[in-house]
Amino acid sequence: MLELVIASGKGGVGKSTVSSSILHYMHGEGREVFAVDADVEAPNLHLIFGIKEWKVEKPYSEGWVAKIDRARCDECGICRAECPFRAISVKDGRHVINEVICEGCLTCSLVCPRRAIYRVRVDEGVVRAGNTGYGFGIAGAKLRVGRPNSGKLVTEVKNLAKEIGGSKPTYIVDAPAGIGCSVVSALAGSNGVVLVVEPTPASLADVKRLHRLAKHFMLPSALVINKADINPEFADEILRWAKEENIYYLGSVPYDDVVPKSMVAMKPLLEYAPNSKAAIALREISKKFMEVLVDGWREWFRTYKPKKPEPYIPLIIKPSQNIK
Amino acid sequence: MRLAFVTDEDSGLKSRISSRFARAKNIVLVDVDDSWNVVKADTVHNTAAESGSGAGVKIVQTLADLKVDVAVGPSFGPNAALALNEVGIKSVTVPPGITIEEALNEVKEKISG
Repeated sequence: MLELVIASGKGGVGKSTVSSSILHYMHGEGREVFAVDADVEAPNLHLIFGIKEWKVEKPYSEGWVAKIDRARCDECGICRAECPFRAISVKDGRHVINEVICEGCLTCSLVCPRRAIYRVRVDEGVVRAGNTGYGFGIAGAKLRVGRPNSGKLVTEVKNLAKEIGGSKPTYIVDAPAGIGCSVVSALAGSNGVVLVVEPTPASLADVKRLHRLAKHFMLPSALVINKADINPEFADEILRWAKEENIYYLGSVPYDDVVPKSMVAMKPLLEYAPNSKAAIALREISKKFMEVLVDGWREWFRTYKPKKPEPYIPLIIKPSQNIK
Repeated sequence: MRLAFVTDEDSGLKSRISSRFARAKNIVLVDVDDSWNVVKADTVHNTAAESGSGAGVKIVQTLADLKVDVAVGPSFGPNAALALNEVGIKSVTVPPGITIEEALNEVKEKISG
């Protein structure tokens, strides 16, 4: 069993396109794969592959919201005045809590002279797993609007995937954007990272931070440059950086407008436009991924594992200062 | 000396090391004497795993409260590593999937050289 994470730091760079191409290619080669959509705030792998059925749907909750006990409340309004998030308003003469804005801090409950406010678990959504229209497994989550992804949620999604998928498949984890809690959780316990980058300063800056996180976990990294031809000089600069950092180069994908078109059609790119230049590049990348990162994992891990773990130094950015 | 091992199982020293540190299900506390004989082994539930965020710092708080000297896991997240360093708990990495008994031997070799 291998668990490989596709991540980018910056959003909208092509994580899901790369993930779905690898899944589609490996499945077509007769390999057992399992899709883990850890980008639960904006999940889309289930849209690309279609769902046969969600076999398991478990309610998920982690946060709290305040509730007013109507029998005790005398509408004094102290809670409304003290709520740091301004989540309490008056409707038809009664105090009501907006559950989307409420952070569950319970300041209201502390200040309430009549002890009329208590807290309840909020229903955040569901963690779910099932089979895609192609037959391979998928796990993800569906959150209510306004509820955030978290390290715990990503852990639950990964655990459910393994519960359903067992020890045989290669797990492809489509990570959320950023390098925060949920991304830390996507990397923890995995066996390697594919960094997806586009040739822009914003994308490179984010991917550098992500790579430091991967090094902290002593994980080897591989690189995919998406839309490489929109800024070839900068793509070369990214390649130089990758070489210095001992990152395995998987390949580059040219800009191609069939990519958004395949999303509109809700089909994997390799199937929607198999002879397009983006699909040809992604098929090459997926093949290399399968041969080097999956079949040759031991060797790849040995060669590209960081020499020493990246120490964690909190980054404090002052106004007008540039991030290196 | 008190060591803490992370696991998702509940079979004492036969439990296997989890693939993750802060969000492992259980913590096995192992007390050893000066010649590394196991004096006592207890399994406690890792409540840090249930927090939405900040699990790394929370498990280190638990370990500090339990007077742990050495934390043993597969890898340590950025916040957990920082907190362990801050409270002076030594950290040792071992491969996930090996049993705590096996991990104890690895730790012994790493610490006593």
